Parts: sequence; structure tokens; C-alpha cells
Amino acid sequence: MTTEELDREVRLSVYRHFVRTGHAPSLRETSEHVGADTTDIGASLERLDANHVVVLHPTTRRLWMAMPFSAVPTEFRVTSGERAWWANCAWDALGISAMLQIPVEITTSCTDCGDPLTVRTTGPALSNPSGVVHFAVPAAAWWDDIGFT
Amino acid sequence: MGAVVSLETAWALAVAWYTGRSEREWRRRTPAETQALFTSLGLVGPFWRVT
Repeated sequence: MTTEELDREVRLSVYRHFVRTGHAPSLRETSEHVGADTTDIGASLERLDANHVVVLHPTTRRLWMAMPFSAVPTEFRVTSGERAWWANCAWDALGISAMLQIPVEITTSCTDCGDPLTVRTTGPALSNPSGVVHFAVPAAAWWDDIGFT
Repeated sequence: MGAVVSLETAWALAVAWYTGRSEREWRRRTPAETQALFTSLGLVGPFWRVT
């Protein structure tokens, strides 16, 4: 397997794990799924991080984000039936529904007043399109501090 | 500070951005492709400039 092929298989494995479980896979889980040793998986994840495909935590180097999924709890909980995920931001919360083409319920709070907010989608569309989303960081600076973005 | 977009536009952005994201054939957009996507959704101006 070439480096490019390994990185693609690792990316697919990471996403499939997130989709299925709502959580980030461990190095061992990805290793077993892809059929490569954990050292190679770790190196692949570093390349995917460098290419902004996934994000590793700056200190632990564990999977932190595979956009739109977050490996850690956030302000954006996305549920669909019995399944649930954490999203990195409002855009990503909508992105989980868009990517998986499933109806979801997004629970968060208003960044202006703090009131609880629920947004629902049908899969192909928003259930109720009223509302706004605030983007805090200009596009050119998104990757300066992706955790803040 | 920042930019406020309608939920409808954010949804359109999410659909365009994340459709196929978990598929084998997915590849990262180039900055020019990203800029073109933003423009197609009306996300224009200095805030939405990617480079």
C-alpha cells in the first residue's frame, strides 16, 4: 500500500467509525480495521492533520476532529434516532445531516442570549429555515487556530 | 464582529461542503474552488476571502 493509499484508508476508517459510534477510533481500532501497524497509522494521521483533513489535538496528538465530527463534547449535539454525535460548530452540525443524508436534531444554545436552541433537518432540507448562524473568524484565518474557529 | 448568515445559507454551505466527505473519492477543495463555492452562495467580501 502506498502512503497515499494508506492515508485514504485511514481517513475512510476514521469517518466510518465516527459515523457508526459517534466517537473517534483509537489507534488500535484504526490499525485493526486498516490492517497496518499503529506506528504507520499514527504517521498517517499526522499527514492527514498536516493536510487539514483531520485535526489532532495539539498536545496529546489524539484525534480531535474529523470534520464535521468532534471527538470531544461541544456546544453542538446532533442526534438521529438512537445515534448521536458532537459537531465542531453550527456549520458542522448541519454538515452531519448533509453528509449522512439523514434527518437530525441539533441541540445547542443561542450565542447571543444563551437560550436553548433546537434545529431539525429532514435529511434533504431544514425543517424550519428561520434563524441565523454566526461565523466569528474570517475564512482566511480559519486554520490559524482551528480549535477556536 | 464576524459574519452572520441565514440558516438557509448555512445549510446550503453544509450540503455543498460535506456531501461526499466520508466517501473514498472525496478530496480537499483547492482555495480557488472554495472561493467559487462561497461566491455561488453569496458569501462575498473580505470576510469570505480564503487567501
